Amino acid sequence: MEDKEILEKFQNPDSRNLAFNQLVRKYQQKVYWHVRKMVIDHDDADDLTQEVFVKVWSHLESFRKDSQLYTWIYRIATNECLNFLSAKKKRFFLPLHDVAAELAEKLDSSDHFTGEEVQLKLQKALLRLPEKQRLVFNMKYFDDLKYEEISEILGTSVGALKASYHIAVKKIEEFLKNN
Amino acid sequence: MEEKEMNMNGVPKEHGFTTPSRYFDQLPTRIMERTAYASPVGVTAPWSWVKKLRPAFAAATMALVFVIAFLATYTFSTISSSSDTSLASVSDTEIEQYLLHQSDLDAAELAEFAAVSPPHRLEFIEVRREDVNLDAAMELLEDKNVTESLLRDEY
Repeated sequence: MEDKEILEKFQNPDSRNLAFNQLVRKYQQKVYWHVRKMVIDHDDADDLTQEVFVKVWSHLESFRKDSQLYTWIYRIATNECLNFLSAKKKRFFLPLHDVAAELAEKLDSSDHFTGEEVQLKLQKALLRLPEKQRLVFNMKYFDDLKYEEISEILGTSVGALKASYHIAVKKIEEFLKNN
Repeated sequence: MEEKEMNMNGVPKEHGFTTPSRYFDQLPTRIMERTAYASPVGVTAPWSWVKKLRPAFAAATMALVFVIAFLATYTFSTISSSSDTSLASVSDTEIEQYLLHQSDLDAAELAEFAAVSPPHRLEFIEVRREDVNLDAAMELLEDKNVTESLLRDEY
């Protein structure tokens, strides 16, 4: 079902649930993987994904169609991730590096990571990046989003995103070379 | 260039994370269960008018409390002043008769009351001075008899 059709059906109380169910089925994987790559742990990603869709449900009525639906959903998911990581830092009075270390430990002990060693190293390299750079890299490298789309999601200029991605790649290469 | 290819190009684009089996089959149901308890913003819920009118209800309740407090104060002061007025209309003679017949007070006690309460003079309670003097003389006489009796017993 096209986004336009989903939105039209959502306006009608009789078909609202059906339309939203279609929306969830269409975007659940994109949202989950976007969140999972940021928070690493499956249970956290599961909670946040549900939270994202509850927020989408609550605010879809006020969604302005001047942006695309999936970039709007991505933006909500990104905000949820950043808020989650920020709360984690505050809760444990930990600087960024320690949160990264905690997430790296989860990565090592996770039952739901079956990647090769090089993939594990890449994820560990990503955890050493600032959150915004990590977001940019994930959306560009794994999700194949265009800079224009990432710009719409993060509210950052395309030029700044290109620079951010370039710096992220350099840091990752450096990490992989040294490890 | 060769180094870059060796690193980033050698890394698969798959991230390596997995989920529990059938996770994405069950997730929509769990999400729909949660949304069943959340009203979409802008959609009118059956009781949403109650939320909208909450400030008005609060203001009305406050106004009602003030009105009740004002009425209670006004009514109490009216009752109080009317009782003062009705007491003022009772004559002194009637009050005296009431005190003499409804209580155990005698003329001397009434006079004593007048002595400790200056505004209530003897004229007000209409006690004759001779009665007061007679009571005082009797008391003095009794005291004198008791003293003499004691002295006699002692010696």
